[in-house]
Amino acid sequence: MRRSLLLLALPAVVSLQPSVAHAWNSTCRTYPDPTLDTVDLAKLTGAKCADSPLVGATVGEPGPWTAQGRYRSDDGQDEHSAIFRRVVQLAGIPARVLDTQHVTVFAFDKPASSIAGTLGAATKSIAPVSFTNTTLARHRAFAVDELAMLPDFSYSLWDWASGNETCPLSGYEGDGAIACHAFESHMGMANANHFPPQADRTYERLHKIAVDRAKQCAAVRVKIPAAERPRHRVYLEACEIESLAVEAVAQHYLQDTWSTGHMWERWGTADVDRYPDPGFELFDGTTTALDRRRYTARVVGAIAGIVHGMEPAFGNQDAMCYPYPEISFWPAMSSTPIRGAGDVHLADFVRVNPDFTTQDVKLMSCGAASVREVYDALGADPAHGPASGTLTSTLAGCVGHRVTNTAYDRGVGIDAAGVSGGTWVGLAAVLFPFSTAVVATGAAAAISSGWKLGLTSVGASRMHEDLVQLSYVAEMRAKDAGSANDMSTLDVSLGGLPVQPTIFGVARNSKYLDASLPLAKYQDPGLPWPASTDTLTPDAVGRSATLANFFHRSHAADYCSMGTPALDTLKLNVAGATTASETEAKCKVCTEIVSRHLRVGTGPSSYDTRAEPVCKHLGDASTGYVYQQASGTIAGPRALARKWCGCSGAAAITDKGWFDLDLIGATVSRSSDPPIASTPAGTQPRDAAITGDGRAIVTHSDGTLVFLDLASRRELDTDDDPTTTTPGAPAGVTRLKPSTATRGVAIAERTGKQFALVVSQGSDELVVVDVSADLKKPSVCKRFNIGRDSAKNEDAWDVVVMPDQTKAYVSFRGTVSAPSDTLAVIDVTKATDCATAGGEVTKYLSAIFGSKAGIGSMALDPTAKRLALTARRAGTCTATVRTTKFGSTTMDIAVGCDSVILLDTTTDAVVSVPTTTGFFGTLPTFYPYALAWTPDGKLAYGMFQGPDPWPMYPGVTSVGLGGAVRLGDPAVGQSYNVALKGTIIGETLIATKDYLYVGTTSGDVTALPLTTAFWNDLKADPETTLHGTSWYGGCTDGTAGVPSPKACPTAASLGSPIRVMIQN
Amino acid sequence: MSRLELTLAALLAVSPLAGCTSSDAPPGSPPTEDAAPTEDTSGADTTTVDSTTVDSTVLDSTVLDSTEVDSGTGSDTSLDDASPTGDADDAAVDAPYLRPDAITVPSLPAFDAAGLPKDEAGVPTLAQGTGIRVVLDGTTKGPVNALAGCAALISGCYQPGVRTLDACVISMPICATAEPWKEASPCCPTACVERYETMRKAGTPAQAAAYTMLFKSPRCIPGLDVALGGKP
Repeated sequence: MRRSLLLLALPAVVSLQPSVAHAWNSTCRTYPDPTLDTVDLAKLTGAKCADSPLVGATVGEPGPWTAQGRYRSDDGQDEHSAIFRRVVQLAGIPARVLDTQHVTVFAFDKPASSIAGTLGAATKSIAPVSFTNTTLARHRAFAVDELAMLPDFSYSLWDWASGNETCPLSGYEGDGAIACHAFESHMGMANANHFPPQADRTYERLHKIAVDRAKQCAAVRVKIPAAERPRHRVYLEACEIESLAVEAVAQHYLQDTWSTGHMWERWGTADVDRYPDPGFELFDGTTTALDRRRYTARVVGAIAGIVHGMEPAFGNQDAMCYPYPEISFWPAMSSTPIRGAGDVHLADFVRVNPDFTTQDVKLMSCGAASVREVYDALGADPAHGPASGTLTSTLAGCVGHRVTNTAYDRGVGIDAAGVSGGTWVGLAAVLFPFSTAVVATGAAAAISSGWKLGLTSVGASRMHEDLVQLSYVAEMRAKDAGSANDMSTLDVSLGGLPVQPTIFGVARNSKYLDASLPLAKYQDPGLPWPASTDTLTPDAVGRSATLANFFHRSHAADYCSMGTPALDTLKLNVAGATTASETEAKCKVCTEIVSRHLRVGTGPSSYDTRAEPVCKHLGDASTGYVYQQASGTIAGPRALARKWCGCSGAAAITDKGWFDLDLIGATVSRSSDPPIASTPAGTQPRDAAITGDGRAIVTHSDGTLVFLDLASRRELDTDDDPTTTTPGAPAGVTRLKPSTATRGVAIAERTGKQFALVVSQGSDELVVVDVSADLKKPSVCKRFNIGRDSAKNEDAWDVVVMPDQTKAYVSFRGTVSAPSDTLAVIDVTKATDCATAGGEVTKYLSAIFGSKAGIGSMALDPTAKRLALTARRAGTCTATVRTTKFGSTTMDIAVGCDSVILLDTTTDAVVSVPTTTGFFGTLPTFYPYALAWTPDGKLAYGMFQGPDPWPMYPGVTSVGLGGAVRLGDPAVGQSYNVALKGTIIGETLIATKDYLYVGTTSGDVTALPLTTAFWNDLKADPETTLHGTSWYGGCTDGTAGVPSPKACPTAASLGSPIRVMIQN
Repeated sequence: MSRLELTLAALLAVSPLAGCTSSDAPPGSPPTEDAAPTEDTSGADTTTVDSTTVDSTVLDSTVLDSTEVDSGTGSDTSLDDASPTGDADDAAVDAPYLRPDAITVPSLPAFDAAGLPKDEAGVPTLAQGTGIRVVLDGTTKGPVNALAGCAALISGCYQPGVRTLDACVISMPICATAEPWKEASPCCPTACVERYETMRKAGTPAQAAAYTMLFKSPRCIPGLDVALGGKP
């Protein structure tokens, strides 16, 4: 047949935007770090994702790109989200359900090319896989309200959870993830279910899933004794968030039904492969039926856009979304039509113009009633807190709204000129002087052969006639019954003659509703997840497994039946990992799952029954348990699980709070969990200790003690009175503040009780806090002065308790000019005897540290036989340095010359090391703060800062020294300095067998390999050499040819000064 | 308030223009600066609202009850329940057809395609969809254009209470040629008017007769059935 009316190969369009027939606007942004909280993202201007409805893409492509971005806006165009946020507020639901959610997704490290081809090598899959198959851990973040925009970028929640990495559109799976998620090529033609009644049914189905899931959450919650729920709140909250996430997606469709452009039965269905095959009479080319259906769907979608209004695409004020006076609609179950507006007019009309107040009220009332119904289904005591008030609105009449015939007629016509009040002309009148043609546009033309189909002359005539007929019928109905709404059903009567305008024979939306078929083949599966019993939805089991794997904490109960062999498998997988990335994933999944099964103790007959894991409550007879004893700062379910799994971890305490870190060789991986906001405003964390039952105690510069429950990741109340709150603390939390400045803290034990020994820097006291696990109110049981000279403040600094609980050491630093030169030895038994005062300090060690030393941080070696002490000495030393790189010119400079001293804990005598001074030196850096012993007995120590600029010879840019780290071997000597980008301001060193991890005030964690080569000859003594570069080793900048902190890769950036790091 | 009542008053209290902008402001009037949306719910009890403008359904004081969520609630049935019925043209349905006096048929409204968006090639664009664009083509015309002209003249002429469909159809400008799409002005072929009157005389209601005449085979526009490939 003759090809006609098809204009192929038009030049690229510059004035038209690729969009049509979305409902309320949706937006997507990409960010350098899309896992930031919304409050932080709000400060940024994100790049628009591909296929953002209102405006063209600026970054990336649809599909995987958008899933790896965030469905949010920075320009107020996020109508769907905005409505959801508003209805949550109106429903009285606690606002924190809208906080950013963080999820660790256990994915598989498949080649990027297998995902989408053009994402680039840096982009990895985010699709969840089974726990045993994961090789890649990904951090995803979202806020629930963002998911109200999801259906404009993803086909369904499981599609989004899968990272939009496949094509869920039945029949077109082979088109690839990118094209499949492009509105221009695929999603637009499949969005008939954004119009009623398919939209109504889709909303109702998803809302029911949300409500039912919420009921499941409630059932899970009651399995956990009320007193235990706070410890396990992360699982309970995750379940509530999952319910609300489903509801947010559901509300997209509910919201759609309230946009005037959508209040009619758009032709077709979401499943393009269900469109009628028009055959070769309408389309020429050697094509398949799927291609012809695709083309039909595209034509239908474009024509639907005329009725809907082309404003989102063209920017003109086009009915029916643009609220001309003729645009009215019948709200369902209403007795009178009201004025209405549609897409992109939420902010400028619906929310603010009194003519649209009723639409606003009804829309918001329905959304509030809907989300409140989900929240109420969570039961009487949701983990996010109770909803406030009683809602008086209902879901009656919330779907089924229809525009009047007059409005429809205006929609079919052409609002030309693109300005308010521009000429409106009925479409039939336009189609006398003009024929219509279909033109392929944009990159979509290259996507498949289906695109290149041409309309035959018959096809072109049919389309033209369909448009004339639609226009004619709409105008007649508008004139005969303008305020009626039968035209919106596309099922009218003209003088008793039934008339049902179609496009290419494609029937109206409701004709495709079939109880024996899914609403859309790509839809989310029915409950239960992860083992859906839904027989209508394709691949329901696989999709439900994907969803449960994504919301894995929410589905803790579903995974608690894992037995010990399965847990052992997770551990064995760690040992079998071959790359850092794989180790990271396997450590994270093992830690995540095992922590739900971990008992604190040595075995079934000896464990802490007061700290049962969540699976004790949610599991069944097949539930397996593992046992791990707490040790030092390795306590709490996650740290113990990590240790059981054979992995290492740490906590970094910053001005922003407590960060969990996985230490995987050179990789330092932040937990997807957000940091615990443990640092009171205006203070700095100083030290931390962890009780055996997993509570962390953090001291602060203002004297505050913050208690954290590491299981539930929340700050603990210290007065057991939820009605009292310390200003600045979370609601109901009262903080202890036993001093004006606290510094060191350590845990001591006596007669089965635990005590925190807290150094009060401001008063030279030791404050003893009873922190026994059976106490709901940790309390100061005793405090006593530990200073040698009670007449002056000696700057009490750190405390260390010997493992045998016989004695503790407290250091005193003093000022730079007047170091305290003192260590107090404490009798732990007397110190923890809350009933008796006196005799706690057994002796002072002084004048044994060389020239006067201010003793600061302390650290026991793995055998507890040696205690390392940082010593800040008065003044500086003179050193001679080269002023040319290889020449003989030198100069003298003043540099730091502090020390790190070893003390024999048996004799309390200083142990000499084989250096020129007998101490480990710091030249040329100064103020040692951090100490860490390696498992094999070497001592790493970190200094605050070095000389700047450095090197001192011309022609080389200063390396920008911050602090530095050194490695000392008591049997050999000391290494060169490894320079750091940031300064060291606290006890921020952690040593494992293979790596040293150091945190700085730049917020960075650097991982340094514990290899001799790296430390640039451990046997060297850089204190005695003529120095050009020779003070420094470690990371060498190949370009400048000098050791440089810039050459040390940053293992993690926390964005806040790191002041304390502990193994955990 | 200790009790959250999602009533109209509460909602309107957060609608910043409630009560401060004239309700007869023309649509499209930009909101004033001080009308920016706010999330402040204070003052809900003091807002004055004309409740007569709002459907009472949503204001039902019934406490939310999950049993009220019912698949299909209010959608299809509401249309039947709420839609007005009664067409303006039905009065003449049962009356015998009497040929009315001819009237003056209004011309089609002027349409300037320059007001439409255009692509880079300057082609006026009617709609844009999924990878395609529906454009207007002024260079190729055929029987369907003639159909559009005739249909637009009839629908444009018809005005209940002013111009009956019968009067409009019999007053149509008659096409002078067998290729009316080539004529300068829209017209209806004589065969169309004759077919219409035949149906009317047989008792077919005016709207049904006009629709059938225009859109049902055999069509009265020359060449149209062929152009449509035998579409019934």
